[in-house]
Amino acid sequence: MHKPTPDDRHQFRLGVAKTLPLALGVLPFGLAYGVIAIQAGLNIAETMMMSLVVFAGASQFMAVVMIASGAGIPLVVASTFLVNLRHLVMGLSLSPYLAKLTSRWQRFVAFSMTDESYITTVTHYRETPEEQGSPYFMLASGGSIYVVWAIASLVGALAGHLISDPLKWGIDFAMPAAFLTMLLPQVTSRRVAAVVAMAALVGTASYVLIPGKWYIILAVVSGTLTGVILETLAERREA
Amino acid sequence: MPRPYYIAMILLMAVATYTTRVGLIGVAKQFQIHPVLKKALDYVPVSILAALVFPAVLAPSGQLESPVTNVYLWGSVITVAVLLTTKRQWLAIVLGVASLMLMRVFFGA
Repeated sequence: MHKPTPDDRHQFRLGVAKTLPLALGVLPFGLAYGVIAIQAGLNIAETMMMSLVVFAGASQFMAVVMIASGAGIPLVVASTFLVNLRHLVMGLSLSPYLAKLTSRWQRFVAFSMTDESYITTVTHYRETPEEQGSPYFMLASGGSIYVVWAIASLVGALAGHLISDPLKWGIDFAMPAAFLTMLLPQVTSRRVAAVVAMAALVGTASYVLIPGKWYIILAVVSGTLTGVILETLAERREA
Repeated sequence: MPRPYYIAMILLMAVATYTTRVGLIGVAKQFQIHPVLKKALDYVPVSILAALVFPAVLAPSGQLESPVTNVYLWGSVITVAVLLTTKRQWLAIVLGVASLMLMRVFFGA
């Protein structure tokens, strides 16, 4: 890791700015996690430790609900692993843009990769003409989510028994709304629209039918297959 | 202070999570990515975005809801409408969320 250049600083600031809508969307979920963790019987230190070292919203929610129902360590850890398997796809999708980084940098930026920072980062890398992505952008994106998640968890944990469920107010919509505003500009062709339709269909159906986060993986598999098949067919027609 | 039992649980959860994050992030450094896979990777971000939006909007409580009474769907319609007319991301999110909260208040949904 070299000394940051002015361009690195620029990329860092850009990373914070572009992640802001999603970072704010994370806020109510961090609050809710803190509240639920305290109600599940964790103390404030444990609640915070989980947010700081695990730093994965969905699996933290799942873990505290499992703790409340008396599940043991092996089940909680195995479930965490399964819920987070989707990160493998995200890492794979980012890897071409990070291929020239040192392994040390790769391992470093990997820690803060969440759904939110992945989407922001990969969208930015695809928009910029450079073949390689700036690690400073990804660092800032993941770091922004990390800071918001930590503060929101703490406030939720301190409020603990005072607030019931901040997700009931309607601000939980901030997250899908932010993702929606990122999705729309990317639908630039009928092929991408077909990919989105397929991923939406398969994702929603499996979300309703299969517990856990498999719906994201299934949506990715069906969406990318649709894209590759349509692209290959189009190439054949031209040839 | 964190209790030892929970420290162990949290550290193991952290290892399980980090393994998935770091697992494939360096793969393009070590291996040449097959052209077909490279093509497929182009469609991963939109597919993930679709998966993060549609289930949350169409089945906010984990089950499909009637489109008529689903405030998340109407909130999304407003978000999209604001984004398309003003091209301003922040405004679209804020008005989308505000409209959904108002619908909650007025219709108790």
